[in-house]
Amino acid sequence: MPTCAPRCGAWFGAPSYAFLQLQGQITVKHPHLLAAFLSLCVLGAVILGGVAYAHSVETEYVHTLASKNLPQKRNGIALQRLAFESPDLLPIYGSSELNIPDPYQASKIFMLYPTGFNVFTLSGDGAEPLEYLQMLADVGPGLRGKQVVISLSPQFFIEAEISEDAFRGNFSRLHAYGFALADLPPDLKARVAQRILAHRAAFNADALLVLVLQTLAQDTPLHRAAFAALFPVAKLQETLLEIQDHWAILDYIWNHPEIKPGVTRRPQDLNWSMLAAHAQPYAMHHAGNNPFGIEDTEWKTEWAAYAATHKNDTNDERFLLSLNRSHGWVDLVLLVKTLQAMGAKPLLISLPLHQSFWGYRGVSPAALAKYYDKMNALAAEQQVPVVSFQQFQNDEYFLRDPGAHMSAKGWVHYSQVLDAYFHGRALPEAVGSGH
Amino acid sequence: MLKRAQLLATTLANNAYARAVALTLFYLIILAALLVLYGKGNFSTPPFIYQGF
Repeated sequence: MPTCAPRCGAWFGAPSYAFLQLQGQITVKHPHLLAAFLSLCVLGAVILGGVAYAHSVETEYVHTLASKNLPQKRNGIALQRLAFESPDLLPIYGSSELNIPDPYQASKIFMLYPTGFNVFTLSGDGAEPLEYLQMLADVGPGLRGKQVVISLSPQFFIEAEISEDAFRGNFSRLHAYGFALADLPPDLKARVAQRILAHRAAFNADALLVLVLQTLAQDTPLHRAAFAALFPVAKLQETLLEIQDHWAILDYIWNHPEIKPGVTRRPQDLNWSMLAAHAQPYAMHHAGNNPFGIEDTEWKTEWAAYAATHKNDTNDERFLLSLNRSHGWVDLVLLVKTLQAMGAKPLLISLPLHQSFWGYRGVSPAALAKYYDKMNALAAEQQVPVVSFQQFQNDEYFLRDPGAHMSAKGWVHYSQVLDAYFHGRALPEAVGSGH
Repeated sequence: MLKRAQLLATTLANNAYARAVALTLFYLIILAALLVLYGKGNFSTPPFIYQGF
């Protein structure tokens, strides 16, 4: 209980310090607690002010960042929530097909908001539906009534399981906590938690997250009670990660002064036939050094070597076996159920299989057709619209490579679907409900 | 000059309010340092090239 002893006054005679002496006569109880309380108040005010400031900056920049391949867009959540709040942005969750630059990609076609919107791409190389699920669950109530596009690569439904590298390369603790704390049916959360825990090597260091997911993975009264006990500390952890997300976005914006807020808008009717007519020769011109229609550079750097070692390396039986045992289907169903539980209006877009290359590897078109059958059956069962571009399976210039990356021609057709979906028009070749 | 500074320091040290303010500042500096160290977090993911074709 520090006080200024009466003898202090005798130590100084300078009249200018007399006020300190006078105030010192008053006793301050528990100075450490008082200081800690004041410090926390100041810290709280700084954080609240900082978050409000970050939100205003993010709101200013969200349209500028919409088409940038910025990792913090997908690893964080602030920009995703803002994208769903913006009536002129259409969020698309996908993988590398959205990242590869092309003059006809959707973000270029819609850059000037010709029909009233632009795409907001969220894409990580090898990111799969289980990762989209966590991201979208983390968006929270802002998803209700909102459109969202899920871009799917066929290879995710042919591989048996997500590789650990792929999962780790796209994993975000923030999204995992966001999913764990989201308001979703317990049985759905249990199934998703089990799937995430199958890849726990990616987050084993976060003991709290492992524990939270383990309590969710079994939907029993005991586990629910354990989850309720863990909820406050998990929420605190999520809040800290969200604050870090704001900081990371601000840091990016501050360190990129060339990025300016605001976008140019130029309303215009898009002539899709004309775009397709221009894109077709462009794609052909850039895919002339191989018999598969693979983009020239891709062929030289990657696919020529791959083709040399994969001629007739598989067959229909093995293809169908892979197709039927893939966890991709399970994850896609969980994703659709999550989106429906959150009240979103999703559209699934699957890219086609590269028929000529699969044929070279020994798989027949009849076997490839099973992929579309399964996708369409899933969409019909889950009552969600899907566009699979099956009619382009045999078009060598729709994809730029067998990895389901689109060529200029593919992008034009893909963008046409996006435009129709955003404006509520009938979707070409759509299966499922809603359109 | 030095004497006056000593005098001021002594006065402040014996003033309960001044000590409370100094303690608050000390805590704030610690919190600010923690904020600078850990505030931005680490959202990076390991580089990865998809090979599942």
